[in-house]
Amino acid sequence: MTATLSNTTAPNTADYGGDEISALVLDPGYSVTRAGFAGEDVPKSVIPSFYGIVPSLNGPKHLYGENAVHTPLPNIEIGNPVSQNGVVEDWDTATQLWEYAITSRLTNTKPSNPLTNGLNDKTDDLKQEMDGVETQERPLDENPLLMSETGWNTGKGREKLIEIAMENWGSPAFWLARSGVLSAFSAGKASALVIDVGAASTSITPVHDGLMLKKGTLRCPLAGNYISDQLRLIFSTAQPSVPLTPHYLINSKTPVDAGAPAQASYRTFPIGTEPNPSFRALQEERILTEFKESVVAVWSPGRLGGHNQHGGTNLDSARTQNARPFEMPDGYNQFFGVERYRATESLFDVKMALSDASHHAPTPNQTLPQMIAQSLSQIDVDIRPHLLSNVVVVGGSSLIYGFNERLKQELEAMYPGPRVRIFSPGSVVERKFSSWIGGSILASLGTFHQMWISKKEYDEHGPGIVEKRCK
Amino acid sequence: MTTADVRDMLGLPTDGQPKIRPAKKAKQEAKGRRPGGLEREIQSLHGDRPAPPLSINELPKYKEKPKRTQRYRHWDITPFGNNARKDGLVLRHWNWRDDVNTTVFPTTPADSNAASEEQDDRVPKPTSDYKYAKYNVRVDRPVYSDEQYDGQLKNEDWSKDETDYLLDLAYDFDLRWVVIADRYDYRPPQTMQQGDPTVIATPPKHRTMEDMKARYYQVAAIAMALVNPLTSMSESEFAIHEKMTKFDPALETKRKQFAEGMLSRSRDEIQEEEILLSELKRIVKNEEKFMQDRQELYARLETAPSTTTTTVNRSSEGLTQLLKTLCEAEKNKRKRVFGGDGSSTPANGLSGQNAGGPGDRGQRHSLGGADKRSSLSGSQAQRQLSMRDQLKYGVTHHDRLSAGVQFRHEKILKLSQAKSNAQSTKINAALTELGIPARIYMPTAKTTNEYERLIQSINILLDVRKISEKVDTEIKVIQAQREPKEFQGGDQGMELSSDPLTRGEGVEDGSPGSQNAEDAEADGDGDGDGDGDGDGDGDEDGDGNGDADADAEADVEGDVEGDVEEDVEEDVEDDVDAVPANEEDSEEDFDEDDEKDMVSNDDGGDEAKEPDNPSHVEEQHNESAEESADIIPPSGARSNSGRKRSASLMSATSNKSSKKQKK
Repeated sequence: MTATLSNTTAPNTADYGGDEISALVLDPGYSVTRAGFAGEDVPKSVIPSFYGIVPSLNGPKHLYGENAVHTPLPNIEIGNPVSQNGVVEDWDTATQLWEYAITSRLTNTKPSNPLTNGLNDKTDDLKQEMDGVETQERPLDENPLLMSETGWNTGKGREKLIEIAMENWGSPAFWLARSGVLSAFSAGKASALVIDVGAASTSITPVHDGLMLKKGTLRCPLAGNYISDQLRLIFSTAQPSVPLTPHYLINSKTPVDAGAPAQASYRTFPIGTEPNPSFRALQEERILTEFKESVVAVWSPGRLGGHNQHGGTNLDSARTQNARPFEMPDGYNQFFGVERYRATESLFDVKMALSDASHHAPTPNQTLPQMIAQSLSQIDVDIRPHLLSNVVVVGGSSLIYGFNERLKQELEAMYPGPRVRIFSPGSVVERKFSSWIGGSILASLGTFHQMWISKKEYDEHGPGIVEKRCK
Repeated sequence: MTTADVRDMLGLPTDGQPKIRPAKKAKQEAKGRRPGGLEREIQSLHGDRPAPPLSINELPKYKEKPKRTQRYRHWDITPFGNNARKDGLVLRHWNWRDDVNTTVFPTTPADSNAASEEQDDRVPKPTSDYKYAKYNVRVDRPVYSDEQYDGQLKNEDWSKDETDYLLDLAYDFDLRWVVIADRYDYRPPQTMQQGDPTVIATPPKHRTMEDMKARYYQVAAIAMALVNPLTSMSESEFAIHEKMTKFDPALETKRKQFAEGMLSRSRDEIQEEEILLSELKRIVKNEEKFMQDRQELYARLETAPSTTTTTVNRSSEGLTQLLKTLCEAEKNKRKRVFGGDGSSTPANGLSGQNAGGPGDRGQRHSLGGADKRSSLSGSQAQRQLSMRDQLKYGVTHHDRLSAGVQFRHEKILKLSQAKSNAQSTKINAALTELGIPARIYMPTAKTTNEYERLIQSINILLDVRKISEKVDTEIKVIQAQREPKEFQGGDQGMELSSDPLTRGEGVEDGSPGSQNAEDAEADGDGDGDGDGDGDGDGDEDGDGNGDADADAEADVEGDVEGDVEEDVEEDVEDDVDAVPANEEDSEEDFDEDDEKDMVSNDDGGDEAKEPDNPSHVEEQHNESAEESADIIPPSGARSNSGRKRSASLMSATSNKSSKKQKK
């Protein structure tokens, strides 16, 4: 594609249909917030949705960005404006966080003076523009903004979003799109059954002709964080238990044999300046993320609790094969065999869920196959086969090895009749940022520009217009 | 002050040297640069000639600059309006600086003028007609006034408010019914609830997609007709109108139920359907071939009689012709069969041996003794059935098989019908006595066997009864004969024992000379006393041959040795056997039947001929009679006619004797 495009000729409009207006696309999530310009293939700005809170003379100070969140500053506390179910709770902080995501990388550096950079010869217009730049007060004055939201966002939340965009940021135009719909667009589909396995929640979004079907949209908490909790339970119940010490607590370590206790010297903080437990939880989560990326897999042929062709249980065969080593930050290392599969199995089979007093076992209806079945039962029978042949699987947690195979297998067992086809982007970036990419595509389409909610319309109708327009 | 002085002051060397220096320099320059190191050595080897070029130093050539046919164009951020929007939002995009309106957005000048004029009112900046605006297409919303609604569109189920809501929704989602049904969430307006506080919001009715569609199409059709009467509708408009009026929600619901059932089929059902479909596919694929075959068959069946008419064959000539052709055809057929057989088993020696019956070869081959055995052994090797299974499947093993099909009921019929009516009636009587019908209702293999056994035992029973009767009569006869023997026995015995060689004479003496050979024979057979006499007579007459003589002699010798009584008894017994001619016949018949059965088993081909040939049967009868009569030594050599006569005479004598006894 890139080879055929040259910088001297405009792409064929019939093929492309794009008209880039340098709109901004903001895709906030529970763990990561993505922002970038429409028309690009990757978000330029990806920051954690977590923020650090450090005490200062003027009260608690918020720190945003990757570095701030992972530095063990004295008394640092970690917060997240987005609640576990993906709905924004702390609007002020969320606004600041999103603003940071946009301005830190996208709009903060002013363009060099066009008079001196020699790119433009005609100076009259540019002087005008320069004036505009100088008078700019708000960060997003120039760029229309497209934001994504969860499928279960409330009407109030939506109105709040357009308020922030229009009032706080001064966007000339705004649009609010469902992240599931955007994921479908990123896969190049107007109709699809989008399964987004994120950090805090897994969502099922049936999309028909670019419109989300509300009744079929479901959410469950069995996602990345749930797998982390399962891993924590596995580690704590193991004999001997697996230590989970984050990097920032380790001064030095010496190599030890597999399974042997760690020999490391630990960092100590002066009393009264230790980071908040929430900081440690976030750092532990980083280790678990690494563990999930490198070790955890989904048992793919059949169910883990089931039996194989030879009559033995799959648990036994999982025990005997495919053990993978993992080394903790403190040097403790171990081979993980059945644990690899155990942590993810309850996404599909509720019987295999681990639970204790603080972690409740999921209900059978929260497993992925059941959720999909519920979702499909809510929508019209005529489009069900079409949706089943257009299952789009996205989200960072869907990158776990064997996830798609297992999902396909479960779906085929549930629906033997219609053809089940799973579309899942191969690249990690596309999988993780699918909803942003969908937004990037949408906001750069020439035909989309008639749909923006302009500032003028907002002023006329108030925030309620978002409910009318962004269906 | 000379230069020398100055030199002295400056401490420079004195003259002389400077003079040489420039000369030297010049010399060196003339010589050229003095090479050093390795280069110098090479030069000393090479001499004074100029050094050969060691390397080719070429300046690198770069690719030629591309020739640009078009000049550079400036890109500008240009603001643009969108005539699909009502609010005059101005966005900015990068665009060619030149010919923005003419090349990039080719639109008809009239349109662009109109658009720009429109937008000039609202938008301060100059904007162009937007190329993507043409894609902003919406569906038409059916329009109606309140009066029109009250007049024609009223529906008990749908309030006007809800109808409006439905139409709005349909407009918003551009008639995407899936989405409309998904988002449909009608709530009755607040005013109604306020008006009547006791009635708290009736729960909104659940509307299915079919309900919504039905209502929408109803409204849309009527609104369409209101705007544009049916008579003035164009064809396409009328088609749409008709489609809308003909929408049947019940049918649609039913269809969806079927679709749902289709979707929720089990794997087995799907597999079954797949199999059926593939079968259907196969049938359809082969249908043409089947049809061809069938037509060919029909053609054969239909055309065959039409080619030759029977009228030709009416005359005798025609008949002979027909016969000839048939024979020819038959021969050809046989040849073909034979040839085919030979080619299939060319190394089979049996084909040569069995050349006597080429007609049946095709079938015989499989049924023939040697082949059959081999095939049997082959089948046994293939499958060993247990006795139970053999019974179950009716598998029987035969040493020999008769050709053709035999029905069990035929066999039964044959069993129960003896040769003679008397015997048959006796058997039937026995059967009725036992309460068994003459013809078995269920002639299974087992029952047939049992029946056969029963008939055999009945036969044996009858035989035994006969024998017992015989013995009874014998005893009576002997008792009756005893009395006369007591009178004459002594003399006779004396005569016989005294001189066997002169016995004939003695008999001659004893019997009247005028007696002819027949009489003598009759005497010999019939009278218990005159055995020797009869033989003697025969010899004299020259009727008998040598064998008979020898027999007679042996008999006589035996007689001489043994006691007379025994001899007589034996004779009598034999004679009595022959006396009841009817009975004997029937018995013989029966034996013969059995024999015949065996024969038929031997060779099925003969069987068919035998019953047709009564003379042959009679011959056999006689033969068998002879065989049975062999037990009687003297009669063995006699001719049939003679034997018959003797039998009739015997009966006469026995009658006489019985009369005598009575006396």
